Amino acid sequence: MLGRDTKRVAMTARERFQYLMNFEPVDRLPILEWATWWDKTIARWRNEGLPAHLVDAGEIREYFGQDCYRQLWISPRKATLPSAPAHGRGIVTSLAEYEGIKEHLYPEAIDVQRAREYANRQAAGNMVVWVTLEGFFWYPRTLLGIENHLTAFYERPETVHAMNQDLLDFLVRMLDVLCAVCRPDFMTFAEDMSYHNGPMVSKALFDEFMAPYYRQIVPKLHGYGIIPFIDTDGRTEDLVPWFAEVGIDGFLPMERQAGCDIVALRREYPRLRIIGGYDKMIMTNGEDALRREFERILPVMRQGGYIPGVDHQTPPGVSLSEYRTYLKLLTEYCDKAAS
Amino acid sequence: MQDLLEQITVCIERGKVNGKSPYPPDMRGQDGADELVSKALGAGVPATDILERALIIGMGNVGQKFSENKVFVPDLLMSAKAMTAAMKHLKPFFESGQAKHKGTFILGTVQGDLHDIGKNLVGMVMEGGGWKVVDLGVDVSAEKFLEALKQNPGSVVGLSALLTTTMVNMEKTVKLLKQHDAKATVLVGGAPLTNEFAKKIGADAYSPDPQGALNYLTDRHSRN
Repeated sequence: MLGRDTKRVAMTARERFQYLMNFEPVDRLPILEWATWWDKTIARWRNEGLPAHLVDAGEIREYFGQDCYRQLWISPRKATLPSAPAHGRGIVTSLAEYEGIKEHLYPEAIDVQRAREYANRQAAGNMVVWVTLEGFFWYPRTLLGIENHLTAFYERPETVHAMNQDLLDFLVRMLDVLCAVCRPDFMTFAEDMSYHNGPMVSKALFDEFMAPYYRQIVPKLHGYGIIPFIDTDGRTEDLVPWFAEVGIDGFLPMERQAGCDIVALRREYPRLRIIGGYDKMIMTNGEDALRREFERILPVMRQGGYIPGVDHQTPPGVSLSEYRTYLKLLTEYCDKAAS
Repeated sequence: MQDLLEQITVCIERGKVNGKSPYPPDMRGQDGADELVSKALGAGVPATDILERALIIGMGNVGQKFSENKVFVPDLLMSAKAMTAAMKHLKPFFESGQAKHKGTFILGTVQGDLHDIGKNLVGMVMEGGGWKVVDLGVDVSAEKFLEALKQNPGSVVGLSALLTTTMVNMEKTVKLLKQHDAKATVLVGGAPLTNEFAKKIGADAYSPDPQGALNYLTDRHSRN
Protein backbone atom coordinates (compact mmCIF):
# COMPACT_ATOMS: atom_id res chain seq x y z
CA MET A 1 0.00 0.00 0.00
CA LEU A 2 2.80 2.39 0.92
CA GLY A 3 5.29 1.58 -1.80
CA ARG A 4 5.75 3.75 -4.83
CA ASP A 5 4.83 2.17 -8.15
CA THR A 6 7.82 3.64 -9.92
CA LYS A 7 11.46 3.11 -9.04
CA ARG A 8 11.87 4.39 -5.50
CA VAL A 9 13.65 7.69 -5.10
CA ALA A 10 15.39 8.38 -1.82
CA MET A 11 13.47 10.89 0.26
CA THR A 12 14.78 13.30 2.84
CA ALA A 13 14.00 12.51 6.47
CA ARG A 14 11.39 15.24 6.50
CA GLU A 15 9.71 14.21 3.25
CA ARG A 16 9.57 10.63 4.48
CA PHE A 17 7.92 11.67 7.73
CA GLN A 18 5.41 14.00 6.07
CA TYR A 19 4.40 11.52 3.38
CA LEU A 20 4.15 8.65 5.84
CA MET A 21 1.99 10.58 8.27
CA ASN A 22 -0.30 11.51 5.38
CA PHE A 23 -0.61 7.81 4.46
CA GLU A 24 1.17 8.46 1.16
CA PRO A 25 3.88 6.31 -0.49
CA VAL A 26 7.42 6.51 0.91
CA ASP A 27 10.83 5.14 -0.12
CA ARG A 28 11.05 3.36 3.24
CA LEU A 29 9.64 3.86 6.69
CA PRO A 30 11.57 6.19 9.03
CA ILE A 31 14.10 4.44 11.23
CA LEU A 32 13.71 6.07 14.58
CA GLU A 33 14.16 5.46 18.26
CA TRP A 34 11.68 8.02 19.53
CA ALA A 35 12.74 7.81 23.18
CA THR A 36 16.23 8.34 24.48
CA TRP A 37 17.91 5.32 26.04
CA TRP A 38 18.14 4.55 29.73
CA ASP A 39 21.46 5.61 31.28
CA LYS A 40 21.97 1.99 32.33
CA THR A 41 21.46 0.80 28.77
CA ILE A 42 24.01 3.28 27.44
CA ALA A 43 26.47 2.41 30.23
CA ARG A 44 26.21 -1.24 29.30
CA TRP A 45 26.66 -0.54 25.61
CA ARG A 46 29.75 1.56 26.27
CA ASN A 47 31.36 -1.57 27.72
CA GLU A 48 30.27 -3.42 24.60
CA GLY A 49 31.69 -0.99 22.07
CA LEU A 50 29.50 2.11 21.86
CA PRO A 51 32.00 4.97 21.35
CA ALA A 52 32.50 7.02 24.49
CA HIS A 53 32.49 10.36 22.66
CA LEU A 54 28.82 9.95 21.73
CA VAL A 55 26.89 11.66 24.49
CA ASP A 56 23.91 13.39 22.94
CA ALA A 57 20.95 11.14 22.08
CA GLY A 58 20.81 12.68 18.60
CA GLU A 59 24.44 11.74 17.99
CA ILE A 60 23.79 8.19 19.16
CA ARG A 61 20.73 7.91 16.89
CA GLU A 62 22.81 9.02 13.94
CA TYR A 63 25.66 6.65 14.90
CA PHE A 64 23.11 3.84 14.57
CA GLY A 65 22.12 5.20 11.14
CA GLN A 66 18.69 6.43 12.22
CA ASP A 67 16.76 9.28 10.65
CA CYS A 68 17.48 12.71 12.07
CA TYR A 69 14.89 13.96 14.55
CA ARG A 70 15.28 16.68 17.12
CA GLN A 71 12.98 17.52 19.99
CA LEU A 72 12.18 20.87 21.55
CA TRP A 73 10.47 20.91 24.96
CA ILE A 74 8.58 24.05 25.91
CA SER A 75 8.51 24.09 29.69
CA PRO A 76 6.06 26.29 31.60
CA ARG A 77 8.60 26.60 34.43
CA LYS A 78 11.25 29.19 35.08
CA ALA A 79 14.61 28.07 36.47
CA THR A 80 13.67 29.70 39.78
CA LEU A 81 10.79 27.31 40.48
CA PRO A 82 11.44 25.32 43.68
CA SER A 83 11.92 21.59 43.26
CA ALA A 84 9.52 19.02 44.67
CA PRO A 85 10.78 17.54 47.96
CA ALA A 86 10.79 14.02 46.52
CA HIS A 87 9.80 12.10 43.42
CA GLY A 88 6.05 12.27 42.90
CA ARG A 89 5.50 14.94 45.53
CA GLY A 90 4.07 18.36 44.77
CA ILE A 91 5.19 21.90 45.43
CA VAL A 92 1.73 23.36 46.15
CA THR A 93 -1.40 22.05 47.85
CA SER A 94 -3.99 24.73 47.14
CA LEU A 95 -5.09 27.47 44.79
CA ALA A 96 -3.60 30.11 47.11
CA GLU A 97 -0.22 28.38 47.11
CA TYR A 98 -0.37 28.04 43.34
CA GLU A 99 -1.04 31.77 42.99
CA GLY A 100 1.97 32.32 45.25
CA ILE A 101 4.41 30.50 42.94
CA LYS A 102 3.14 31.85 39.62
CA GLU A 103 6.03 34.29 39.41
CA HIS A 104 8.20 31.18 38.84
CA LEU A 105 5.99 29.87 36.04
CA TYR A 106 5.20 30.75 32.44
CA PRO A 107 8.41 32.21 31.03
CA GLU A 108 7.87 34.52 28.09
CA ALA A 109 10.76 33.21 26.00
CA ILE A 110 11.86 30.01 24.29
CA ASP A 111 15.28 28.93 23.00
CA VAL A 112 14.95 30.83 19.73
CA GLN A 113 18.52 30.18 18.68
CA ARG A 114 18.07 26.45 18.82
CA ALA A 115 14.68 26.64 17.12
CA ARG A 116 16.23 28.67 14.31
CA GLU A 117 19.07 26.18 13.92
CA TYR A 118 16.57 23.32 13.69
CA ALA A 119 14.44 25.29 11.23
CA ASN A 120 17.39 25.66 8.88
CA ARG A 121 18.09 21.92 8.88
CA GLN A 122 14.39 21.21 8.62
CA ALA A 123 14.12 23.49 5.55
CA ALA A 124 16.95 21.52 3.91
CA GLY A 125 14.95 18.36 4.60
CA ASN A 126 17.61 16.86 6.85
CA MET A 127 15.68 16.99 10.07
CA VAL A 128 12.22 16.33 11.44
CA VAL A 129 11.36 18.71 14.26
CA TRP A 130 9.26 17.54 17.15
CA VAL A 131 8.04 19.75 19.96
CA THR A 132 6.80 18.48 23.32
CA LEU A 133 4.27 20.39 25.38
CA GLU A 134 3.05 19.40 28.81
CA GLY A 135 -0.49 18.07 28.80
CA PHE A 136 -3.49 18.99 30.90
CA PHE A 137 -3.20 15.88 33.05
CA TRP A 138 0.60 15.93 33.40
CA TYR A 139 1.11 19.57 34.27
CA PRO A 140 -1.13 19.94 37.37
CA ARG A 141 0.31 16.65 38.62
CA THR A 142 3.83 18.10 38.57
CA LEU A 143 2.65 21.00 40.74
CA LEU A 144 0.34 19.13 43.11
CA GLY A 145 2.12 15.78 43.31
CA ILE A 146 0.70 12.48 42.11
CA GLU A 147 -1.81 11.63 44.83
CA ASN A 148 -2.91 15.17 45.65
CA HIS A 149 -3.49 15.82 41.98
CA LEU A 150 -5.73 12.78 41.67
CA THR A 151 -7.83 13.72 44.68
CA ALA A 152 -7.86 17.40 43.66
CA PHE A 153 -10.27 16.51 40.85
CA TYR A 154 -12.81 15.90 43.63
CA GLU A 155 -11.60 18.09 46.48
CA ARG A 156 -10.07 21.14 44.77
CA PRO A 157 -11.44 21.27 41.22
CA GLU A 158 -10.93 25.04 40.96
CA THR A 159 -7.19 24.58 41.49
CA VAL A 160 -6.90 22.11 38.61
CA HIS A 161 -8.91 24.36 36.31
CA ALA A 162 -6.83 27.43 37.20
CA MET A 163 -3.61 25.57 36.40
CA ASN A 164 -4.93 24.26 33.11
CA GLN A 165 -6.32 27.62 31.99
CA ASP A 166 -2.96 29.25 32.68
CA LEU A 167 -1.17 26.42 30.90
CA LEU A 168 -3.43 26.79 27.87
CA ASP A 169 -2.80 30.54 27.67
CA PHE A 170 0.94 29.94 27.96
CA LEU A 171 1.00 27.24 25.28
CA VAL A 172 -0.97 29.37 22.84
CA ARG A 173 1.45 32.28 23.33
CA MET A 174 4.55 30.12 23.02
CA LEU A 175 3.31 28.30 19.94
CA ASP A 176 3.04 31.63 18.18
CA VAL A 177 6.57 32.53 19.28
CA LEU A 178 7.96 29.16 18.19
CA CYS A 179 6.13 28.97 14.90
CA ALA A 180 7.38 32.41 13.89
CA VAL A 181 10.83 30.77 13.84
CA CYS A 182 10.25 27.06 13.28
CA ARG A 183 7.13 25.03 12.54
CA PRO A 184 7.52 21.57 14.06
CA ASP A 185 6.44 18.60 11.97
CA PHE A 186 4.71 16.95 14.87
CA MET A 187 4.29 17.35 18.58
CA THR A 188 3.61 15.26 21.64
CA PHE A 189 1.66 16.17 24.72
CA ALA A 190 3.44 14.61 27.68
CA GLU A 191 0.57 13.01 29.63
CA ASP A 192 1.27 9.57 31.12
CA MET A 193 -2.33 9.28 32.23
CA SER A 194 -2.65 5.53 31.88
CA TYR A 195 -1.13 2.55 33.64
CA HIS A 196 -1.01 -1.11 32.76
CA ASN A 197 -4.76 -1.65 33.33
CA GLY A 198 -6.04 1.48 31.55
CA PRO A 199 -6.67 5.19 32.24
CA MET A 200 -6.02 6.50 35.74
CA VAL A 201 -9.12 8.68 35.57
CA SER A 202 -12.65 8.30 34.29
CA LYS A 203 -14.05 9.69 31.05
CA ALA A 204 -16.13 12.09 33.13
CA LEU A 205 -13.01 13.58 34.73
CA PHE A 206 -11.32 13.76 31.32
CA ASP A 207 -14.34 15.60 29.91
CA GLU A 208 -14.42 18.07 32.76
CA PHE A 209 -10.76 18.80 33.41
CA MET A 210 -8.84 18.09 30.20
CA ALA A 211 -11.06 18.03 27.12
CA PRO A 212 -12.06 21.75 27.25
CA TYR A 213 -8.41 22.80 27.06
CA TYR A 214 -7.52 20.30 24.35
CA ARG A 215 -10.45 21.56 22.31
CA GLN A 216 -8.82 24.99 22.26
CA ILE A 217 -5.17 24.07 21.65
CA VAL A 218 -5.60 21.32 19.04
CA PRO A 219 -7.13 23.56 16.32
CA LYS A 220 -4.21 25.95 16.89
CA LEU A 221 -1.75 23.09 16.28
CA HIS A 222 -3.61 21.93 13.21
CA GLY A 223 -3.62 25.52 11.97
CA TYR A 224 0.17 25.46 12.05
CA GLY A 225 0.25 22.09 10.25
CA ILE A 226 1.53 20.28 13.35
CA ILE A 227 0.33 16.72 13.98
CA PRO A 228 -0.57 16.30 17.68
CA PHE A 229 0.26 13.05 19.47
CA ILE A 230 -0.39 11.96 23.04
CA ASP A 231 2.56 10.43 24.87
CA THR A 232 1.14 8.14 27.52
CA ASP A 233 2.65 4.92 28.81
CA GLY A 234 0.56 1.93 29.78
CA ARG A 235 -2.67 0.65 28.30
CA THR A 236 -4.05 3.34 26.01
CA GLU A 237 -6.85 1.64 24.08
CA ASP A 238 -9.61 3.29 26.12
CA LEU A 239 -8.01 6.71 25.72
CA VAL A 240 -7.91 6.66 21.91
CA PRO A 241 -11.59 7.55 21.42
CA TRP A 242 -11.48 10.11 24.25
CA PHE A 243 -8.65 12.00 22.60
CA ALA A 244 -10.08 11.50 19.12
CA GLU A 245 -13.08 13.52 20.27
CA VAL A 246 -10.81 16.51 20.93
CA GLY A 247 -8.94 16.19 17.64
CA ILE A 248 -5.75 14.36 18.62
CA ASP A 249 -4.23 12.46 15.67
CA GLY A 250 -1.79 10.01 17.21
CA PHE A 251 -0.39 8.09 20.16
CA LEU A 252 2.91 6.78 21.40
CA PRO A 253 4.46 4.51 22.70
CA MET A 254 1.70 1.84 22.69
CA GLU A 255 3.20 -0.60 25.16
CA ARG A 256 2.58 -4.18 24.15
CA GLN A 257 3.11 -5.51 27.65
CA ALA A 258 0.26 -3.29 28.88
CA GLY A 259 -1.99 -4.90 26.29
CA CYS A 260 -1.80 -2.34 23.45
CA ASP A 261 -2.55 -4.07 20.18
CA ILE A 262 -1.82 -1.70 17.31
CA VAL A 263 -3.14 -4.15 14.71
CA ALA A 264 -6.56 -4.26 16.38
CA LEU A 265 -6.54 -0.53 17.06
CA ARG A 266 -5.88 0.24 13.41
CA ARG A 267 -8.85 -1.87 12.39
CA GLU A 268 -11.03 0.31 14.58
CA TYR A 269 -9.27 3.63 13.87
CA PRO A 270 -7.83 3.45 10.34
CA ARG A 271 -6.40 7.00 10.41
CA LEU A 272 -4.83 6.81 13.86
CA ARG A 273 -1.16 7.80 13.73
CA ILE A 274 1.10 5.63 15.86
CA ILE A 275 4.75 5.66 16.94
CA GLY A 276 6.22 2.74 18.90
CA GLY A 277 4.27 -0.49 19.38
CA TYR A 278 7.26 -2.88 19.19
CA ASP A 279 7.43 -5.06 22.30
CA LYS A 280 10.60 -4.14 24.19
CA MET A 281 10.24 -7.16 26.44
CA ILE A 282 11.13 -9.64 23.68
CA MET A 283 14.36 -7.96 22.62
CA THR A 284 16.52 -10.46 24.49
CA ASN A 285 14.72 -13.50 23.09
CA GLY A 286 16.79 -13.95 19.93
CA GLU A 287 16.47 -13.06 16.26
CA ASP A 288 13.52 -15.34 15.56
CA ALA A 289 11.48 -13.69 18.29
CA LEU A 290 12.45 -10.24 17.03
CA ARG A 291 11.38 -11.23 13.53
CA ARG A 292 8.06 -12.62 14.75
CA GLU A 293 7.36 -9.30 16.45
CA PHE A 294 8.07 -7.43 13.21
CA GLU A 295 5.76 -9.82 11.36
CA ARG A 296 3.04 -9.01 13.91
CA ILE A 297 3.22 -5.27 13.23
CA LEU A 298 4.01 -5.48 9.50
CA PRO A 299 0.36 -5.05 8.43
CA VAL A 300 0.24 -1.69 10.22
CA MET A 301 3.65 -0.72 8.82
CA ARG A 302 2.25 -1.28 5.34
CA GLN A 303 -0.79 0.92 5.98
CA GLY A 304 1.15 4.15 6.60
CA GLY A 305 0.80 6.65 9.42
CA TYR A 306 2.95 4.45 11.62
CA ILE A 307 6.60 4.61 12.68
CA PRO A 308 7.63 1.33 14.30
CA GLY A 309 9.79 1.62 17.38
CA VAL A 310 10.56 0.19 20.78
CA ASP A 311 7.47 0.71 22.93
CA HIS A 312 9.36 2.81 25.46
CA GLN A 313 13.02 2.81 26.27
CA THR A 314 15.23 -0.16 25.41
CA PRO A 315 15.76 -2.09 28.68
CA PRO A 316 19.30 -2.39 30.05
CA GLY A 317 19.05 -6.17 29.74
CA VAL A 318 19.41 -5.73 25.96
CA SER A 319 23.01 -6.05 24.77
CA LEU A 320 24.48 -3.86 22.05
CA SER A 321 24.66 -6.92 19.82
CA GLU A 322 20.96 -7.65 20.40
CA TYR A 323 20.12 -4.02 19.70
CA ARG A 324 22.07 -4.16 16.45
CA THR A 325 20.08 -7.24 15.46
CA TYR A 326 16.90 -5.31 16.20
CA LEU A 327 18.13 -2.42 14.02
CA LYS A 328 19.07 -4.77 11.20
CA LEU A 329 15.56 -6.21 11.20
CA LEU A 330 13.98 -2.77 11.63
CA THR A 331 15.80 -1.60 8.51
CA GLU A 332 14.76 -4.73 6.63
CA TYR A 333 11.09 -4.38 7.59
CA CYS A 334 10.99 -0.60 7.05
CA ASP A 335 12.11 -1.31 3.51
CA LYS A 336 9.79 -4.28 3.09
CA ALA A 337 6.76 -2.33 4.28
CA ALA A 338 7.28 0.28 1.58
CA SER A 339 7.94 -2.16 -1.26
CA MET B 1 -26.69 -1.11 64.40
CA GLN B 2 -26.94 -2.69 60.99
CA ASP B 3 -28.09 0.60 59.50
CA LEU B 4 -25.09 2.41 60.93
CA LEU B 5 -22.68 -0.23 59.59
CA GLU B 6 -24.30 0.01 56.17
CA GLN B 7 -23.90 3.79 56.20
CA ILE B 8 -20.21 3.39 57.08
CA THR B 9 -19.80 0.90 54.24
CA VAL B 10 -21.29 3.42 51.81
CA CYS B 11 -18.98 6.16 53.08
CA ILE B 12 -15.91 3.99 52.57
CA GLU B 13 -17.01 2.81 49.15
CA ARG B 14 -17.87 6.29 47.94
CA GLY B 15 -15.00 8.14 49.62
CA LYS B 16 -17.04 10.26 52.04
CA VAL B 17 -14.39 11.23 54.58
CA ASN B 18 -16.29 13.51 56.95
CA GLY B 19 -19.12 16.01 57.17
CA LYS B 20 -17.00 18.87 55.83
CA SER B 21 -15.82 16.98 52.79
CA PRO B 22 -17.31 18.35 49.54
CA TYR B 23 -17.09 14.92 47.95
CA PRO B 24 -19.17 13.16 46.81
CA PRO B 25 -21.44 16.08 45.86
CA ASP B 26 -24.66 14.14 46.48
CA MET B 27 -23.57 13.43 50.08
CA ARG B 28 -22.57 17.01 50.88
CA GLY B 29 -23.48 18.00 54.43
CA GLN B 30 -23.94 14.40 55.56
CA ASP B 31 -21.79 12.66 58.13
CA GLY B 32 -18.81 10.81 56.76
CA ALA B 33 -16.80 7.78 57.85
CA ASP B 34 -15.15 9.86 60.56
CA GLU B 35 -18.38 10.81 62.37
CA LEU B 36 -20.22 7.55 61.74
CA VAL B 37 -17.48 5.33 63.16
CA SER B 38 -17.34 7.56 66.20
CA LYS B 39 -21.12 7.26 66.56
CA ALA B 40 -21.00 3.49 66.16
CA LEU B 41 -18.40 3.11 68.89
CA GLY B 42 -20.43 5.43 71.10
CA ALA B 43 -23.46 3.23 70.52
CA GLY B 44 -21.48 0.22 71.69
CA VAL B 45 -20.80 -1.43 68.36
CA PRO B 46 -17.66 -3.57 68.80
CA ALA B 47 -14.61 -2.33 66.90
CA THR B 48 -14.23 -5.75 65.28
CA ASP B 49 -17.75 -5.50 63.85
CA ILE B 50 -17.05 -2.04 62.46
CA LEU B 51 -13.89 -3.35 60.83
CA GLU B 52 -15.24 -6.60 59.45
CA ARG B 53 -18.87 -5.71 58.72
CA ALA B 54 -18.34 -2.21 57.33
CA LEU B 55 -14.80 -1.06 56.56
CA ILE B 56 -13.48 -4.24 54.94
CA ILE B 57 -16.68 -4.65 52.94
CA GLY B 58 -16.64 -1.04 51.70
CA MET B 59 -12.97 -1.14 50.75
CA GLY B 60 -13.42 -4.57 49.16
CA ASN B 61 -16.26 -3.27 47.03
CA VAL B 62 -14.25 -0.32 45.73
CA GLY B 63 -11.16 -2.48 45.23
CA GLN B 64 -13.17 -4.93 43.16
CA LYS B 65 -14.66 -2.15 41.05
CA PHE B 66 -11.17 -0.75 40.54
CA SER B 67 -9.99 -4.15 39.27
CA GLU B 68 -12.83 -4.08 36.79
CA ASN B 69 -12.12 -0.47 35.67
CA LYS B 70 -15.54 0.59 36.96
CA VAL B 71 -13.91 3.17 39.22
CA PHE B 72 -10.52 4.84 38.84
CA VAL B 73 -7.51 5.87 40.89
CA PRO B 74 -9.05 9.08 42.31
CA ASP B 75 -12.02 7.06 43.60
CA LEU B 76 -9.77 4.51 45.27
CA LEU B 77 -7.75 7.30 46.87
CA MET B 78 -10.89 8.95 48.24
CA SER B 79 -12.02 5.63 49.68
CA ALA B 80 -8.62 5.22 51.29
CA LYS B 81 -8.96 8.68 52.84
CA ALA B 82 -12.32 7.68 54.30
CA MET B 83 -10.76 4.45 55.56
CA THR B 84 -7.95 6.37 57.26
CA ALA B 85 -10.50 8.64 58.96
CA ALA B 86 -12.35 5.57 60.21
CA MET B 87 -9.26 3.66 61.33
CA LYS B 88 -8.14 6.58 63.49
CA HIS B 89 -11.01 5.71 65.85
CA LEU B 90 -10.18 2.00 65.86
CA LYS B 91 -6.48 2.41 66.59
CA PRO B 92 -6.85 2.13 70.42
CA PHE B 93 -8.71 -1.17 69.99
CA PHE B 94 -5.88 -2.62 67.91
CA GLU B 95 -3.36 -1.41 70.47
CA SER B 96 -5.28 -3.03 73.32
CA GLY B 97 -5.74 -6.27 71.40
CA GLN B 98 -9.55 -6.01 71.28
CA ALA B 99 -9.30 -5.87 67.51
CA LYS B 100 -6.82 -7.87 65.48
CA HIS B 101 -5.27 -7.50 62.06
CA LYS B 102 -5.37 -10.42 59.66
CA GLY B 103 -1.61 -10.28 59.44
CA THR B 104 1.26 -7.96 58.64
CA PHE B 105 2.08 -6.92 55.10
CA ILE B 106 5.53 -5.44 54.52
CA LEU B 107 5.55 -3.28 51.43
CA GLY B 108 8.09 -1.32 49.40
CA THR B 109 9.32 -0.28 45.98
CA VAL B 110 12.55 -2.08 45.18
CA GLN B 111 15.99 -0.55 45.07
CA GLY B 112 16.60 1.99 42.31
CA ASP B 113 12.91 2.76 41.80
CA LEU B 114 11.30 5.90 43.18
CA HIS B 115 7.73 5.30 41.97
CA ASP B 116 5.22 4.80 44.70
CA ILE B 117 1.64 5.31 43.53
CA GLY B 118 1.15 1.61 42.69
CA LYS B 119 2.72 0.57 45.98
CA ASN B 120 0.58 3.04 47.90
CA LEU B 121 -2.63 1.78 46.29
CA VAL B 122 -1.72 -1.77 47.28
CA GLY B 123 -1.05 -0.58 50.84
CA MET B 124 -4.42 1.17 51.01
CA VAL B 125 -6.33 -1.89 49.77
CA MET B 126 -4.43 -4.23 52.10
CA GLU B 127 -5.13 -1.98 55.07
CA GLY B 128 -8.74 -1.80 53.97
CA GLY B 129 -8.72 -5.58 53.94
CA GLY B 130 -7.76 -5.72 57.59
CA TRP B 131 -3.99 -6.08 57.27
CA LYS B 132 -1.41 -4.13 59.21
CA VAL B 133 0.81 -2.48 56.62
CA VAL B 134 4.48 -1.74 57.20
CA ASP B 135 5.41 0.59 54.35
CA LEU B 136 9.16 0.77 53.80
CA GLY B 137 8.84 3.45 51.11
CA VAL B 138 10.73 3.61 47.84
CA ASP B 139 14.23 2.61 46.72
CA VAL B 140 14.29 -0.16 49.34
CA SER B 141 17.28 -2.50 49.40
CA ALA B 142 16.96 -6.26 49.74
CA GLU B 143 18.68 -6.01 53.11
CA LYS B 144 16.09 -3.53 54.36
CA PHE B 145 13.24 -5.86 53.35
CA LEU B 146 15.01 -8.68 55.20
CA GLU B 147 15.46 -6.56 58.29
CA ALA B 148 11.73 -5.73 58.28
CA LEU B 149 10.83 -9.41 57.91
CA LYS B 150 13.08 -10.30 60.84
CA GLN B 151 11.33 -7.64 62.93
CA ASN B 152 7.90 -8.92 61.86
CA PRO B 153 8.20 -12.71 61.65
CA GLY B 154 5.51 -14.44 59.62
CA SER B 155 4.69 -11.33 57.63
CA VAL B 156 3.88 -11.31 53.93
CA VAL B 157 6.19 -9.16 51.80
CA GLY B 158 5.05 -7.15 48.76
CA LEU B 159 7.58 -5.84 46.23
CA SER B 160 6.75 -3.17 43.68
CA ALA B 161 8.63 -1.96 40.57
CA LEU B 162 7.59 0.26 37.70
CA LEU B 163 10.63 0.14 35.48
CA THR B 164 12.34 -2.48 33.37
CA THR B 165 15.56 -1.11 34.83
CA THR B 166 14.54 -1.95 38.40
CA MET B 167 12.40 -5.08 38.10
CA VAL B 168 15.65 -7.05 37.99
CA ASN B 169 16.34 -5.97 41.57
CA MET B 170 13.33 -7.99 42.71
CA GLU B 171 15.14 -11.26 42.12
CA LYS B 172 17.89 -10.43 44.58
CA THR B 173 15.32 -9.44 47.21
CA VAL B 174 13.21 -12.58 46.78
CA LYS B 175 16.31 -14.73 46.98
CA LEU B 176 17.50 -13.07 50.18
CA LEU B 177 14.07 -13.35 51.85
CA LYS B 178 13.67 -17.00 50.88
CA GLN B 179 17.18 -17.79 52.11
CA HIS B 180 16.19 -16.39 55.47
CA ASP B 181 12.83 -18.14 55.53
CA ALA B 182 11.90 -20.53 52.73
CA LYS B 183 8.25 -20.28 53.81
CA ALA B 184 8.14 -16.48 53.63
CA THR B 185 5.42 -15.34 51.24
CA VAL B 186 6.54 -12.76 48.69
CA LEU B 187 4.12 -11.05 46.29
CA VAL B 188 5.27 -8.88 43.38
CA GLY B 189 3.55 -6.30 41.23
CA GLY B 190 4.21 -3.46 38.81
CA ALA B 191 3.84 -2.44 35.20
CA PRO B 192 6.61 -4.47 33.53
CA LEU B 193 5.92 -7.69 35.47
CA THR B 194 4.23 -10.90 34.43
CA ASN B 195 3.31 -14.20 36.06
CA GLU B 196 6.20 -15.80 34.21
CA PHE B 197 8.66 -13.27 35.60
CA ALA B 198 7.29 -13.78 39.11
CA LYS B 199 7.76 -17.54 38.82
CA LYS B 200 11.21 -17.15 37.34
CA ILE B 201 12.47 -15.09 40.28
CA GLY B 202 10.86 -17.38 42.86
CA ALA B 203 8.06 -15.08 44.05
CA ASP B 204 4.90 -16.73 45.36
CA ALA B 205 2.48 -14.66 43.32
CA TYR B 206 2.08 -11.77 40.92
CA SER B 207 -0.97 -9.56 40.94
CA PRO B 208 -1.88 -7.05 38.23
CA ASP B 209 -3.89 -4.95 40.67
CA PRO B 210 -4.21 -4.31 44.45
CA GLN B 211 -7.41 -6.28 44.95
CA GLY B 212 -5.79 -9.30 43.30
CA ALA B 213 -3.07 -9.25 45.96
CA LEU B 214 -5.65 -9.06 48.74
CA ASN B 215 -7.77 -11.81 47.18
CA TYR B 216 -4.72 -14.06 46.91
CA LEU B 217 -3.98 -13.70 50.60
CA THR B 218 -7.65 -14.07 51.58
CA ASP B 219 -7.95 -17.29 49.55
CA ARG B 220 -4.75 -18.64 51.03
CA HIS B 221 -5.90 -17.71 54.53
CA SER B 222 -9.23 -19.49 54.05
CA ARG B 223 -7.48 -22.65 52.81
CA ASN B 224 -5.18 -22.81 55.86
